[in-house]
Amino acid sequence: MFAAAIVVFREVLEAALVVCVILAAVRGVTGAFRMIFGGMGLGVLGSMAVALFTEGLASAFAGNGQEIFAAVILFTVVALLTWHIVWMQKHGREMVHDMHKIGAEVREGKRPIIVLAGVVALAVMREGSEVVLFLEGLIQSNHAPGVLAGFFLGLAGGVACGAILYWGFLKLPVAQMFRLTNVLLALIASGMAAKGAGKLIQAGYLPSLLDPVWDSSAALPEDGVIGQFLSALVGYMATPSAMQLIFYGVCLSLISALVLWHKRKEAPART
Amino acid sequence: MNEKLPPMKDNTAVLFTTFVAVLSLLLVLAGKSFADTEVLPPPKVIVQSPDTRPRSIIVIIKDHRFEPEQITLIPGEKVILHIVNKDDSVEEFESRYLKREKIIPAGGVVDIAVGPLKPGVYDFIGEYHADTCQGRVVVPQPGWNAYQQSR
Repeated sequence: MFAAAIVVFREVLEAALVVCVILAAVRGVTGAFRMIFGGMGLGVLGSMAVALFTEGLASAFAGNGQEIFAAVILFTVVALLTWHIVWMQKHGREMVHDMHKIGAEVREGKRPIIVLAGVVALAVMREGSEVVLFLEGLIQSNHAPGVLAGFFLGLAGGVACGAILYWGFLKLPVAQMFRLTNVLLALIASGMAAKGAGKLIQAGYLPSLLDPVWDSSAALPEDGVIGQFLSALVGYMATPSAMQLIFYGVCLSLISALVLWHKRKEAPART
Repeated sequence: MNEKLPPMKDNTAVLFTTFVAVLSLLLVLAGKSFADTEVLPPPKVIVQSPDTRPRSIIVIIKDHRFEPEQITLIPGEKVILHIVNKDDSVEEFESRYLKREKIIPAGGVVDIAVGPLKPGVYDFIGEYHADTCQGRVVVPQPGWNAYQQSR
């Protein structure tokens, strides 16, 4: 039962943490929660579809279909998150000052909440398909009800961790919270870029260059509780390859550069 | 003085000339046939160019177990794990040590490239049946012999 719980917990946690950071990031915006949860629903449906087409995916692209699919999803999420972070830099100030105005903008379709809903849908779809396959196997092999209970325990555990994180965000002052969620989203995006690179290395499309650059799996294992959290939130890797570090670094510097550029462009207008 | 030469000598000269002619003919023929054999198949396997294709290792999943459970590689060797899922349930090959994660459909086959690796033990699991579906890639230190391996 606990084995099943741990498998599901691991798969759910990453998506749950990403969703909660995003929920915090759109806090206070009218109608945003509905869109984010809509994205989640789409993601669940999508993960079922992915699970259904596993066989076709496994044999696509000379057997590299899974890796290419995962890499495309990851890099799409990176692009969407980057877009959102830069947008927030431009409009975040107004957002903090005038929630009502933002609400109006959502209705007019100006706000990029739909982008974040897309991020949520893709993140849930990617992690969810493995959960669906696991559940399918459990039902198929007529396991004891304890295993199914473990499945839901893991699911609940992952969601609970996300909820605790979200509750923590709510305790912060609004301006500080937006700053933190933006930094976290940038780190999440960088971590996903590194994961995407890992998929391309696995498929043999990219060289690892040096693997691993370091090994901190003894001190802070990636599949431990803290390692899992850090992996989901800041892209922690216990044994990163040089190529993954390059992707992480390039992504993070690109986002920082874009944010700084917009800040500088904005600064003279404000004085 | 010339007339004084014995007819025997003439005979010898003829014999000698004939001998030389036959010998050279034989040599020419032999040389020709020798040349022919040299043109024919060139010596094929004297220096074999190394086969750069990675070794392929078949791993079978049956009753939620890997067969073989242990795969031994040479340090720096690159191999393809050809994983055959003979169960009727989907499995996920996963190893955070090898950094590989791939779904193998029920009755499906999946190739996973592994290596080059440093000496060490790299565990892998079938994540959906992790209690039984376990295996490892072992990369021995150079000098690690078969006796130690059997222990």
